[in-house]
Amino acid sequence: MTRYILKRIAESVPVFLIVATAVFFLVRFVPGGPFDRERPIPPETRAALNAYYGLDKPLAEQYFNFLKNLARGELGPSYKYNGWNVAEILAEKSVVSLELGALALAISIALGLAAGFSSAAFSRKRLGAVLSGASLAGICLPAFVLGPVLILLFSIKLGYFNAMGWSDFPRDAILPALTLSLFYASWIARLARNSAIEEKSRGYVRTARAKGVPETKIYIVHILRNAIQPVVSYIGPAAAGLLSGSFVVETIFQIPGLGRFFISSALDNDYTMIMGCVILYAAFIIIFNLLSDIALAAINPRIAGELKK
Amino acid sequence: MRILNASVWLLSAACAALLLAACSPRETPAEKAARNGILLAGNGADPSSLDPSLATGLGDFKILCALFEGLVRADPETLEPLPAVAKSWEISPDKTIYRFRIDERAKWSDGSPVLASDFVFAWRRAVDPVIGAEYASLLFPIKNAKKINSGLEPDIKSLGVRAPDPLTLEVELESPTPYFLSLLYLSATFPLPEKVLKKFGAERSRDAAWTRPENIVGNGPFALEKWSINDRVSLRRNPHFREKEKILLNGIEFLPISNVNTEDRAFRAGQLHITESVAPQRLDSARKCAPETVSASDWLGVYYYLFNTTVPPLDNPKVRRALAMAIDRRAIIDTFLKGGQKSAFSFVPPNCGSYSYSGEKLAFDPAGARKLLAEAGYPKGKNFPRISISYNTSEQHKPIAEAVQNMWKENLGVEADLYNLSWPAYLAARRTGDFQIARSSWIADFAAPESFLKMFESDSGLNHALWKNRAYDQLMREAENAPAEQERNEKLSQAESLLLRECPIIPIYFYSKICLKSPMLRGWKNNPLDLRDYRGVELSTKKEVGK
Repeated sequence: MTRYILKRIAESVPVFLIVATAVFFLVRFVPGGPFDRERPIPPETRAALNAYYGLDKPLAEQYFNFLKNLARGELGPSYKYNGWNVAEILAEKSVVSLELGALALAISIALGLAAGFSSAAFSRKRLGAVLSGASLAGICLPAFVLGPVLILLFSIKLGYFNAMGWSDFPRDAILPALTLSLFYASWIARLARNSAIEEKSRGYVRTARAKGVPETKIYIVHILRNAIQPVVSYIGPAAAGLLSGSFVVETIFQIPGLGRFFISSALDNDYTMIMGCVILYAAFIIIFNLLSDIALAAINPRIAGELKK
Repeated sequence: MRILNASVWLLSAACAALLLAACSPRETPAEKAARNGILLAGNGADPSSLDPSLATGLGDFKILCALFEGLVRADPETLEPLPAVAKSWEISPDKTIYRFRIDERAKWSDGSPVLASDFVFAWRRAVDPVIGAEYASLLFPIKNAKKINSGLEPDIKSLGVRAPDPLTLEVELESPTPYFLSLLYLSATFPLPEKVLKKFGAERSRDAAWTRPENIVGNGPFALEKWSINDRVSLRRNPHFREKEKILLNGIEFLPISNVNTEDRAFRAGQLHITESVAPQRLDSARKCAPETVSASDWLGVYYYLFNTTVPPLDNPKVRRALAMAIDRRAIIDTFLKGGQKSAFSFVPPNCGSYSYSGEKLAFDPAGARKLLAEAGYPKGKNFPRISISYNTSEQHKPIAEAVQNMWKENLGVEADLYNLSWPAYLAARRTGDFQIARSSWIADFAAPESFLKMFESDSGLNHALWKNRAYDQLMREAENAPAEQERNEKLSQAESLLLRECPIIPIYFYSKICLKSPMLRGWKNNPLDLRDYRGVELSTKKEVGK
C-alpha cells in the first residue's frame, strides 16, 4: 500500500505541473490585463506596475520564475490586494472553507447514506418513495434558491441565525452547510439507494437469507459493505469540491472562504490569485482521489489486492 | 411504520421549538453593536489597498476617510472646504500658490505630531513613477507633478510642494486650478507617516506591509484594528484624533458585501446599520414596508453611452445625435432603476458646485431624431448598418441595453446587437477602441464640472470616444485660466454645449445614492460626492428609536 501511495504521489507531480503550466499561459490569453481599470492609467504607470510584478520580463523567464517560486511554496503577491501574498490569503481563507466544507461533507454523508439506504430498505413502501423523491428534489433545487429561502425563514422571520457572515462559528455555519450539502447529500442518497437495491438482488444475499441470517445482519454486514463502494468513489471529488469552497454559497452567506476567489480573481485578472486557486484545487482533487482509493481498498479486499500488484 | 411515527414526532417537536424561539425577541447584531457604539456599514467592494497613495476604489476610499484626514475636509452637506489638518490657508493673488497652516493638535495615531513634511513626503511619493500610483493624475495641477510622474523630470524634489517650517505647507500650482481645494478631500492627497513607511521599506515601493493593522499609523478619527480580506475591516476610535470630542462612535465595522441581495438580507436580519446600495427590484417593497429606512440623495455621477467616433456611421455627429434623441430616459428610470435617478439630457450633473448648464440639451425627440437620421442619409433607418452595444456583465446594464436596442428599432428603424463582456474584456475593448457603442459611467472625484468635462479633452486618457475637437480644448483651457468664477462657468457651459452638439456620448441618467439606513443611525449626512464625515454620527439604542 505504501508503494502504491508513493507511486500515486509520483504520478501526480506531472499532472500538477501540466495544470500549473496550462493556467500560467491561459491567464495571459484572457482579454484585458491586470491593470485595466475604469480610470485608465498612463503608460509610465503601467510600465512601473509591470516592472513591480515582473511582467516586463520575457514570458519564458516569467514562467521559470513562477515554477521556481512554486517549488518553494510561493505564489507571489496578489495584483488586486496590495501588500498581500496569494499564499497568505489562500492559507487564511482555506481554514474557513475547510470548516464549512467539513461540516457540509459530514451532513452530506450522514444524510445521504441514511436517506439512500433507508430508501433502498423500504423501496417497496411509501417511505422509500418519499425519500427517493426527496433526493431527486434535492439534486434539482439549486443553492441560490435554497440559501435565500433558509435565510428568509430562519434569519429574517425567526431570527435564529445570522443572514450572513462568519463571526460566530459553528452557528454561522449551519445554514450555509445545509445549503451546500443538500445537493451532495441527495446525490449520495441516489448512489447509495441504487447500489443497495442492486446488491439486494445478488446471489450472496439470497444465500444468506436461505441460511437464515437475520435481515438486519444481511443488510449491515453484507449489502452495505458492498453498496457503499460507489459512494466512497464519489466522496473523493465531492470532498475536493466542498472543501475548496463554493462561489454561490459564499456569496449568498458572505462567507470569507476560497470559493469567491475562483470567480473574483478571474474577473479582476489577478493572475497570481487565479493560478493559486487553480493549483490549490488541483491539489485537493489529487489528494482526495487518492484518499478515496485508499478507503476503497480498505473496504474491498479485491481492490487492495490489485493495488499491491 | 415506527420510523414514520418517529419522524412525525421529531418534526412536530422541531416546529414547536421554532415557534417558541420565534416568540422570544432576540437582540440583533445591529442592536448589540449600537449598544457598544459600533457602526455596521456595508462597503460594497472589498478594499484592495489601505495605502492612501495607491487606493483606487470607492470601497477603499470610504475606509481611508475614517483612517486618515487631509488638509481640508468637505462640509458634509454643501461640500464647501472646511479646515481639517490645515487650520487655515492663504491663496496668492494669481491663485497659483497655496499656503496652509497645520493645526498643532493634529496627531498620528501613535501620538506623534502631523507635520507639513508628512504631506511633502506623501505627495512626492504619490507622483514618483516607481510607485505606479493609479490616481497620481489627481496631483497633476501641482507644479512639475505630471513631468515627474511621466519620467520627464527625474528630480522628485522639484515637485511644487515645500515645508518652509514644520507647520507650514506651501503648494505651487502649474496654473490657477479653481477646484484645487476639492482635490484635497481625496485620499491621494492625505499625509503619510514617513517614519513608518521607511521602517517597512515602502518609501519608494508599492509594498504595503505598513498598512497591516499591527503596523499602520493614521491621523483620522479611527484606527485600524482588523483587516480580513472578503470579510471585514474593523476600526476603533483613535484617541489621538484632533477633534476626538466630535466623534461619538466607538468604532466601525466595514463589511465588503458585493452582492446587493446579500446586503439587503443582512440589513433586514438586523446585521447592518447602513447598506452601500439597494437592488432596484427591492425598492418598491422597502418603500412600502419600511419607508423610514430608504435613503436617497443626488450623487455626482452620470451613466452614459459612449460612441467610438472613428467608425462609420458613428463618425457622423448627426447620426450620433439622432441615436441620442431616440432614447426615452424616463422610461428606463421608471422601469428598471426606480431609485430617484434623474434623466440626463446634458453631461454634467446638477449640484456640481456653482455650475449650471443652461444651453441646448439632448431631449427625447423621436421625430427630430428621425429627421436628423434622414439628413445623415438614412431615412427611416434605410441602409443603416447594424451597430453593436457593448456592456459589462451586470443585472442592471443588460435591461438598459435591451431597452435602448428596442427604442432605436421602434423610433429610428435602426438594428443593434448586444455584446455582454466580462469586466476586464470590456475595459480592454474600451481601451483599444474595439467597440462601436459602449456603456459607460463616471462618478466625480471632486464637485466641479471639470471632473466630467476634462474627460473629453483631446489628450485625455479618459476620452474613449476618441473624439478630438480643438475648439473644445480651447474652451477648456480658457475656463482654466478664467479670472472669475462666472467667466469660468460660461466657458465650461460653452464647452458642454459643443460636447452635446457633437455628441460623442449619450447621457442617460444622473446617479442617485440610494441605500437602506437604520433609524438607529443618527447624524448621518448625505452629500453628492458620497464623502463620509463621521463627526456627529451616532447610534441610538432600540429603546431610544421607539421614543
